[in-house]
Amino acid sequence: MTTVQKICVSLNMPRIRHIRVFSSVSSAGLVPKPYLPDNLMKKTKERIARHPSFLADTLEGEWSDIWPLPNQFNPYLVPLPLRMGHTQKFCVSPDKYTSVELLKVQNFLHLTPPAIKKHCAALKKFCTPFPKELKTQQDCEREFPVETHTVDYVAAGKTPRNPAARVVTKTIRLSNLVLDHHARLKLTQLAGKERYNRSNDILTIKVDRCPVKKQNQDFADYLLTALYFESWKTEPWESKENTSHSDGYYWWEDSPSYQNVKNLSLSWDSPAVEKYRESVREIKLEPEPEKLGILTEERKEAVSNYKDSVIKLLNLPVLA
Amino acid sequence: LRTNSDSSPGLASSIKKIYCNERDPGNHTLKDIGLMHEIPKEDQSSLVLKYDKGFRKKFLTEASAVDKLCIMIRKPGLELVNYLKHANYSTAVNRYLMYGPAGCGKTMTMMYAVDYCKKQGWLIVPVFNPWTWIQYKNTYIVHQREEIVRSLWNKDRVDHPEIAARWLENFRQINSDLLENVFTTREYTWSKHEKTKSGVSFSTLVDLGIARVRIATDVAGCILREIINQDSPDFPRTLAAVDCANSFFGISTLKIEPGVYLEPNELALVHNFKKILSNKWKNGAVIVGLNTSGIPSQTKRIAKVSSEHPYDILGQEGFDILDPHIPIHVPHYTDKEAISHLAYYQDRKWLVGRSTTEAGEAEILQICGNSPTDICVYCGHL
Repeated sequence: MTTVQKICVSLNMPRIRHIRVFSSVSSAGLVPKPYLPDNLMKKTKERIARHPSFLADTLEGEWSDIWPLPNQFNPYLVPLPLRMGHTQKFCVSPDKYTSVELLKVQNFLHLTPPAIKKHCAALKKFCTPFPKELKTQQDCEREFPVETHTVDYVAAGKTPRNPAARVVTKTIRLSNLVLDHHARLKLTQLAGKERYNRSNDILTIKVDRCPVKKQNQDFADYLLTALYFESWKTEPWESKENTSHSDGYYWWEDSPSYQNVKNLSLSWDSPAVEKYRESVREIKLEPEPEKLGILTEERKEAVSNYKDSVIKLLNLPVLA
Repeated sequence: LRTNSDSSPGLASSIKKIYCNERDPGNHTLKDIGLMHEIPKEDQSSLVLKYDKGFRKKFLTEASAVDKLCIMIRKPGLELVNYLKHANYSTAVNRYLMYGPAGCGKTMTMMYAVDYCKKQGWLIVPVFNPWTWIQYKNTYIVHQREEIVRSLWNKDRVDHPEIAARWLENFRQINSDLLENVFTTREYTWSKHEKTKSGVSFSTLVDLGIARVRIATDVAGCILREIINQDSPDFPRTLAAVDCANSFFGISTLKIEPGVYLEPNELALVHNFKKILSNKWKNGAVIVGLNTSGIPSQTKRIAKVSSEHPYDILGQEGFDILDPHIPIHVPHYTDKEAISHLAYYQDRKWLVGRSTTEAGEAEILQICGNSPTDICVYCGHL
């Protein structure tokens, strides 16, 4: 990888006016000649050579000793020729000894890859290996059904804080919870349509109402436990309320339709009953139509299916 | 593009056979679709009820102008009669639901089936206009709003004294010969001083109800209870013909106290008639029709749902009570039926002149579409 350094040199010479010279030096060795007379160039080259920054090769292993922790920028410790700051007319940016901007901004000099490697190596003796039993995704889900999803944001800016980092999302597949059919219905209804995905049976709770991530996580835990325990309770007003069937579950055995069919005293094994059940289900679980009252093709079909199944159930002849 | 000529006679005048010769609707077949089934004058006195007539007002005025009462034979009617013929009457009741767009003949099909049942000798429980039960007849004359009274039988419910008396009169008129042979099985106590012993015939009950208006609702309830709990093999087959059934499951505009609207469930009549809609009884049939033109709204600002779909206006509760039932779709006329309707008018000399020509016919059909009510209304102007 080629590194390109922009070196900005300000010549301090009495008789010659200040000349701004830019040169880009690539480590491949090609140096475009600066527009300077030869004797001046020699002097500047010496000055650059004296600067300790070009001893970077020897410093690699020792950098983590010099800069172990996050620290404010120290120009005497950092060997790089950095410049940062606002330029006045005909001036270059302030160098590292005089730049206040370098002090203000956060640096990640403690996080060089060799330093991180060293850190990890030191921590390794405290770690245990990943368990062998957890090979597949299903094993992981079986042992740890609740998944917590958080995001940390790193950006170089005035502050390291990012308000989006407080969001916590907890997901759980409802088949891992112990629920009877009433509890499941109630839980999905309490959670709401946006939070429960019926195709893969996953309940998602996204919390971002508290300012701190830890607070949001605790709140999400609380929500899950509250939902679970509330869904097992049956309130006295619940029996009449469940007539909308908008949540998509319809338990035919509990419905009044079943009671009515019992009155007919039929045998339960006949396929007619099965078909009837399916058609009643279809009618009950219809999604909300856009315009109430208009017979679209699908609704018509549902009604005529119902009709055919009832005719078969009651053993009536169809008009020829 | 062939234009319809003004001089040549239209399709309607070429139809020779308009009336069906079979008087018994049980013998009509699919070939008879489009013919008019006439109801002779003797039957008219029992079918056309005194209050809450089964037929629509327009139809009856037209019938009196044209001097004949005719129902067209259509496929839904034949279907219904077919089911009634072949149903199993030893098990629970079958329910039949008529639905379709407004003005397409649901009530007419129901009257057709009622005619069939009358010929078979069934007992008929007619409920043709329950909109009067849940709405005030006169909204502006306050002192006439004495149509509802708290019930003596059950304090939670509300009676309709006058309306129930009228219903009992209807009941007597439509089942004139059968009522003497049917007997009650229980003793009923109407109030502290009035009792009716068991074994009394229906006709005496009905007379009692009409005379004593205060207990008329309870009498109606007793009749229904007897029908539902029938035991004896002599009990006639019963047809409950309930039109505008969605009125039972909606809202009412009646107030028992200023500011408190009643629910239909609190009305004793509605409560009792809902029982007859269920399939807990045997030896009979229930025909239910839906109607969207009379829906009340408590604030008069809610848009009325005019629906073709049966379960939208019936609601979940209605569906649960009526389940399992057979929904019968009563659609607009087919082209053949529309032309036969026009032929009937021509035969009765209502449509003359230009309406009989091809061009006139095309114009009428274009304007009205195939909707029976529209043809009726439009031709009424001609």
